[in-house]
Amino acid sequence: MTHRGPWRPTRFQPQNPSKSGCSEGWRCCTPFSFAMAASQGSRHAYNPSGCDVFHSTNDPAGGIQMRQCVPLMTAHGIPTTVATGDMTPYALAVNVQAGRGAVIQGNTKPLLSTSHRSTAGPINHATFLAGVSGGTLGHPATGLVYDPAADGRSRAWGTAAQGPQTWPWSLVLAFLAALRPWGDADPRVLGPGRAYATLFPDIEPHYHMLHGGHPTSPFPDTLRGRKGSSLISRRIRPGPGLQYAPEGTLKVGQAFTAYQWVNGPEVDGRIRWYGSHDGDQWIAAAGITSEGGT
Amino acid sequence: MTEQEDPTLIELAREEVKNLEPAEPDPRGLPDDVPTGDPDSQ
Repeated sequence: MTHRGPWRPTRFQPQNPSKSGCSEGWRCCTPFSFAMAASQGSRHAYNPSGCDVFHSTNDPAGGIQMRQCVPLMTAHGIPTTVATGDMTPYALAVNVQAGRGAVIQGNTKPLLSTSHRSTAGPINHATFLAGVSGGTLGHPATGLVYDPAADGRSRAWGTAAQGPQTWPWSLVLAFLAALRPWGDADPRVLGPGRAYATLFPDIEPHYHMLHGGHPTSPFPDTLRGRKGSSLISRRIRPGPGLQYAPEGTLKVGQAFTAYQWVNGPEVDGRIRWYGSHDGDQWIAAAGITSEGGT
Repeated sequence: MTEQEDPTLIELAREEVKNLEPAEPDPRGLPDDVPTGDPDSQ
């Protein structure tokens, strides 16, 4: 599944019953992670609560497993792929780099001594890995993690982190490897080289819509500084208009990857402006030429 | 999102997805699924 269009952050759902209203919340890290993953994976077309996912399992005991949450996803047209130790962390990283979110299961022991701590003790736990940034293929620098237990609560052991958070990828790997597949009471750990994870649909490419931007066609579109254009038309600005102070200049022939466009103040007879992935860099249409045809 | 910013890396990853191999089977025989714990319980 390939989506093309704007992206917005997934709403963080804490599992804490006092914040979620779900009386079974503390036993529902997997349903809450699935709920957030479903929202992102459906591009917000389906936005269940963690409690909705929990009740769909018809399992009142809590400690819900990944496969118990899958039927609700399927019923709402969200394809998932469950891996229980037969996926490498490299494969997980590549899939997320390709645009898929993932519910990941691990153990919180490596988190306890960090600012990312969210649990009283070391337990098997599920979080939603919404994306990754930086690094190289299969080895990202960081992960964007929606940990449903990271609700900022204060306890005797300290204050929980507040989700969503950015984890070093090394911490994601440590979390995955520390999983106790035979349960919290069994000291055997999964170890490196494997992951328990559920993959969600691809949401790439996307852009962060600002100023009402429309997606370019093709998406994204590679533009280049146009020979003979005025210097003012090749200024890169934080917004689509001359009122935004220039932060740089696109050289003639230099590439600018555009994800969105808006109509704005006229520059050299043209009113269209092109924006970057994050919507924080804009350039006037008069200053560029398109390779793709927008 | 995911906060992907590098179209080249996204395309590389999409190609690489087609070539991924599963992890070697674990001789211990991993369970199909794993229950999780209570984050607020010591």
